[in-house]
Amino acid sequence: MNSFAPYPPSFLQPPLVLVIEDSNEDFEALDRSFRQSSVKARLHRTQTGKQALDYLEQSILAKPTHPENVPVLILLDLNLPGMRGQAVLQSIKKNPLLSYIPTVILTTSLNLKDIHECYRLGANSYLVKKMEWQSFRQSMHIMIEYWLDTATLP
Amino acid sequence: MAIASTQNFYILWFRPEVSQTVTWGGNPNKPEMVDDHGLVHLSPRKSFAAWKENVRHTSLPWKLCEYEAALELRNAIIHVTLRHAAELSKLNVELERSNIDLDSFAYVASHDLKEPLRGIHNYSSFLIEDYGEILDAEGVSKLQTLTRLTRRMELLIDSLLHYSQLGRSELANIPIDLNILAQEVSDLFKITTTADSLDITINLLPTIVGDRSQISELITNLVSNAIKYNDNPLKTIEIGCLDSDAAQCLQREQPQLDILSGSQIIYVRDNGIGIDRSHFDDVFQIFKRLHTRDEYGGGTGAGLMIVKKIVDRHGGKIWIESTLGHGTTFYVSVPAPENNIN
Repeated sequence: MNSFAPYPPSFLQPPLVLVIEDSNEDFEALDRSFRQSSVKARLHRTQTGKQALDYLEQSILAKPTHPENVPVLILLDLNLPGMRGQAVLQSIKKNPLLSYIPTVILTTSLNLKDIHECYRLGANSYLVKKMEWQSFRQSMHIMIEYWLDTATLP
Repeated sequence: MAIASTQNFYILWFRPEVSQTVTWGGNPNKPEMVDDHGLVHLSPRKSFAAWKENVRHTSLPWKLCEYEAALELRNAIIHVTLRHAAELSKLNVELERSNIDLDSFAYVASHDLKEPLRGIHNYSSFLIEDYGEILDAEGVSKLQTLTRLTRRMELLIDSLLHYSQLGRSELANIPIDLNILAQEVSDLFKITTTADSLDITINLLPTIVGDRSQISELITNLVSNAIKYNDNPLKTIEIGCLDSDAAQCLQREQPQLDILSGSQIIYVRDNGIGIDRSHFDDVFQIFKRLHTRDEYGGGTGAGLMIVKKIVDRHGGKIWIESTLGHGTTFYVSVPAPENNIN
C-alpha cells in the first residue's frame, strides 16, 4: 500500500454490481439473495438498457475521482423494454472502456439461440433464473461468490 | 402431348380403329421377283383384276378441329395446375406465418407468462421466510400450497414450450443403435429405482435413422410411463423389436395402422395397470390424464403427447395393445430411412 496516497475510504466500500432488470419482483428476489449472501456487494439498478449505458458512461468519466462507482460486475436481463439485452451486451463489449467488466446474463430464456448469441457477443456467463426461490438463491450465491470472491478481476 | 415441361405428365389421345377396304390396281406389297441369276425383276401385271385389301389397325387422320380441341384441353389443365400451385403457395405463406406465431407464442410462454408466476412464487416464499413465525400452521400450509401450485404451473408451461419446440426444431437424423440407446435409458432408471423392484429386459434391437435426442426422449418417456403406472412389487419392462415376419403379418392383419413397408416396429411392454381400450387415443392428447393428479406420482400428462409428436415427426405410427390390469404394450413403427419424411 502506498502510504503517500492513502486509498479514499470509499474504496473500502463493498464492490458495486450493476443490475439491469426491469421487473421489480425479480429485482427484489435478486436483492434479497445478495443481502443473504456472505459476500457483500452494493447494487445499482437500472430498468432499461439505455439507462445502464448512460450510467456506465458517466461512471467511467468520473472514474479518476470516484472509482467506487464503476461496477466490477454487470448482471443483465435479456427481456428488457426498448433496447434488447443482447444489444446492451453488444454495446458494452464493443466499447473498449467497458468491455473488461464481466457481464453475466440473467434470464428466463432457455432458448439455444439466445444462449449462443450472448456468448458470441462476449457474455462472461449465462444463468437461467430458476423459478423455485431456494434454487434461485442458491445459484445466485454461487454466482456472487464466484465473481466477487473466487475470481480475480481486472 | 406434354402438359408440363418439368414433369413427365402427358395426355395420350386414342381414337377407334376404322377398317376399310381399299381397291388397288395390284398388290402393292407383292415382292419383287428374283431370278436364277440374282437379278431383280418387277413382274408385269398378268391380269386386269382389281386387287382388294382390308386395311386394319389404322384410324382416320386427326382433323384440325381435333388438334385445336386437344390444345384447348391442355391449356385448361395447365390453368387448373397453375391455380392449384397458387393456392399451395398461399397456404405456404399462411403456414409460415403461423409458424412465426408459434415462435412468438413460445417466447411469450417462456418469458411473459413465467415472470408473474415467479413473482407469485417468490413472494409466497418471502412471506414464509419473513412472517413464518407470526403465521399459524394453517397459514404456513396455505402458503406452501401456493408455492406448490406455482411449481406445477411452471412445469405445465415448460412442457408446452418443449412440445412446441419439438415440432419446429430441425431433426438431426443420424443412424442410432437402439441397443446402446435403450441400455443408456435403462441404466438411468436403474440408478433412480431400487434394484429389486425393477427388471428391464432389452431384446435385440435394430439400428434406425432419427434424431438421437428425440428418440432417446421417446424411449425414456415410454419406460418412465411403464414404471409409473405400475402397481406390481416387481415392475417388468421389455423393450424389443418385431421380426420382419411378425411386422409383415401385422401390416396384413391391421391395414388401418397404415405402416409403411420396411418399417421397424419397436415395442415397450410392461406388467403395469393397463389402459382401457376406450382410452387408447386419449392418452396421446395434450395434457390428458387418466388418473387424478396425485395418483401414480403426479406429473403434467405431457409424456405421451411428446412421444406421439416425436413419432409423428419421424414419419412413424404409435399404437397400444393392453388389457386392463394386465399390462400395456406400446408399439412404435419407424420407417426405413428412404421413407423417413420430416
